[in-house]
Amino acid sequence: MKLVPTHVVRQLEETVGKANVIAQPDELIVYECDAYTLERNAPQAVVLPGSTDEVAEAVRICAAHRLPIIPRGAGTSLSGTVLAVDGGIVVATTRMNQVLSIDPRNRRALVEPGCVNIWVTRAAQHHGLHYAPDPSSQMACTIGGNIATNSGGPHTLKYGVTTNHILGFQMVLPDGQIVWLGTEPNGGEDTPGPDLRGAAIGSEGMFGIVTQALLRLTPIPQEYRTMLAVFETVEDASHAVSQIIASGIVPAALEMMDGLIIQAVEERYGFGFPLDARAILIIELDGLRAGLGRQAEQATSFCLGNNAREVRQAQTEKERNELWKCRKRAFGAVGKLSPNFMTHDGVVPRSKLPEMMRFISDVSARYGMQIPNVFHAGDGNLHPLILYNERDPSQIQRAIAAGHEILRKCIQLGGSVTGEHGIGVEKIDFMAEQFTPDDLDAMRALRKVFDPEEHCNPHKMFPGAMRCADFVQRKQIPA
Amino acid sequence: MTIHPTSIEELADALHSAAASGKQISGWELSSLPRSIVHHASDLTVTLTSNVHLAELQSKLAPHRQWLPIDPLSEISPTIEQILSSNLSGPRRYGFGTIREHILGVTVMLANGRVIHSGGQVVKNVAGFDLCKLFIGSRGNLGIILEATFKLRPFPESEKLFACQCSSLSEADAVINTLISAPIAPVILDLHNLSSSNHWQIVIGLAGATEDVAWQAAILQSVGEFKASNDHYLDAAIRQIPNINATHSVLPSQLCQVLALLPKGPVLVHAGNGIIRNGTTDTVPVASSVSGLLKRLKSEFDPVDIFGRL
Repeated sequence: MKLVPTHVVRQLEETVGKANVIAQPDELIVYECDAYTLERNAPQAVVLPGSTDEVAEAVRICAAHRLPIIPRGAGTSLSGTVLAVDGGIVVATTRMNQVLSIDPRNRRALVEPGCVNIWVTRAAQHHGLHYAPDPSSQMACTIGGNIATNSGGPHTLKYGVTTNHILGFQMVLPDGQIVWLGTEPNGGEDTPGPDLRGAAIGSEGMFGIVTQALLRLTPIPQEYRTMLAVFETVEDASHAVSQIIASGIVPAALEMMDGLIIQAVEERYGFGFPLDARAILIIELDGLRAGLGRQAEQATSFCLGNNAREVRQAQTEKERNELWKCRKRAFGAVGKLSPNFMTHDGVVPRSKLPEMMRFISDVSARYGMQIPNVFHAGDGNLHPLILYNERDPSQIQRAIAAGHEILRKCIQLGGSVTGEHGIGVEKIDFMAEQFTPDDLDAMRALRKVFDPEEHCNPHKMFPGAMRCADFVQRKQIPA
Repeated sequence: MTIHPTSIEELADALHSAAASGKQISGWELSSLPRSIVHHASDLTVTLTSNVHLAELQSKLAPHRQWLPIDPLSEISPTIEQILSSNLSGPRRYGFGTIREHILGVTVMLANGRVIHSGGQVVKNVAGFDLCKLFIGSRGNLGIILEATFKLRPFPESEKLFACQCSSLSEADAVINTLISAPIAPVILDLHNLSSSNHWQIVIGLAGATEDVAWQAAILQSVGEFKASNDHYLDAAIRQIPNINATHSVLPSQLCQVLALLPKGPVLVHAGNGIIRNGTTDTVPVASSVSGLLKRLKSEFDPVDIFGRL
């Protein structure tokens, strides 16, 4: 592991306080990866600033010593976005975690970047408002991280993803300059010129570090109808999804869990899912009470028309919450099925879901790997979980290869290799398959606008990037 | 120099020769380029060339009971390119947002004549940087938008407009505040004074399932004297307000304070969003830190400056 020169550590300590710099190798292990664990490398140091000025000063110190800067929130990202590929200094925003203000009249919240996603809704809900993007990790993930990765979640089907709910933010650029992009606190929502805020959302920590964010708050729906439809085949459930979307109903969420996931979730949380079901759809409608009943009937009839065995409705708020808890913690339950799993999040046009699901089951059979699915069906956003055991090198190889086939199929069907997890280090090799060299050049040009030196979160996203040493080793293990 | 290409190759050639001769291109007319609208009805998406007029798109989508939820104000239906490059919007932005909320992908010819893509055709996509947003509001100064993909919305089953007369701005302010906290979800919340008198009119648009619209309409009656109305005020505004797309954007809660300070004259306001249309615009100075970014943006995307200033 590269060590950081002691005088640099001292400078960082003078900036943020001794207690807020981590430079001991054994303590840095915590920061060696995010939720993508196939590649690991510890940073040279971690800095935990307490204010925008401290972030800016820490960034200037890194820039002066040409040390890579790796912005980090809670580290819940799923594609190695916060991996210190070649060392560098992690700037973690976890101490800057306050909800600064809630403005119910203008439906805005001003928060610090380390503020946990769910805290925004908790602070706003007594005004009848909530923060709509709800990634499954919303109990832990931070707003700064959500902005960096343009996070999604089950309810983005109706409400849109992070970019649709961020009015503006303050960012420390990789040279230490502090800028505000987009709508300013107490400013009008339209700002002149190109939408730099939008261009920087989802830039995976390569444009700078968000230090404050102005969020759009959304009224809490008057009522929910949350339904559970049980199917004998994944294909029937996929057809039901396509028909519901095409019919003009805009569900708040439309999620699918297949048989393996149902078993794992049921074993772990005991919700009462039928263990013999091959697919379950969670259909949530929300809005005004008046029209919901009829829409629920319509959605039910599409399910029954596609051979659903039964369609149940959550009768109480408690039941609804339980159902969502199962869905959002489904990844956790998969630990019961296998020591390791690899998640992908490719997207296909919604009408191609039946074809895509057939393909995944075919891949599963060909590679002899179990691949349970739990995903945002209404968005066409897949989450195949490829199960493997890392003690068996051939399983790692097969898991990687199976995942790649699935992602290639997504591109082939007119989709994308990632709907919400991002490219990070994990999907670098697919950028050249999904985009042309000219497309990639334009992205590189945009990166240079924000980071001419390219030292903010380096070795990510672009083909040809350096990989972690131990990953190369693993790749060379013969299948 | 204004160009009028008949093919993508011709457009690229024009950009190359402008760069070589050091001439700026002051405008372009894309109407002679090939046109297409590819509607994926069951996916609720559409991919189309930027020279298509919005009205043409909407009429193609209408039989499928779908639409692109954007309603810019202009006498002639704008093209997709105009909507994107000038970030045009209208009253229904209160319910559906501006064009940035609907864009999924874009194809652009850059100053160097190369055609690039960003985003894609699926409703969720975080592969690569979001260059789509960069071209929204860039007024054609970073590249020429050739094609775009949008997510669509189903037509609301019902849409009804209601209007309420207010004898003063402060009365209007009070009604708007009550509407904001009422349990309704309007898609339009406009305020206008097109007569230059002290009479202000609030227009509210309700859309959705028939039952939802009826239920909300009943609530309106408890807030003020709302009567069934229509969107003819928009035509009047377009006629009376020169340069209708020049806007002031203010914090919605400060709207009436700002309105009181503006010179008398016809004015249309998207009250829910804090957007004022009175034919003028405030020249907000761009923060110097952001202007540094804009300068670098220009030099990366149009280094020889053939499209003019950002």
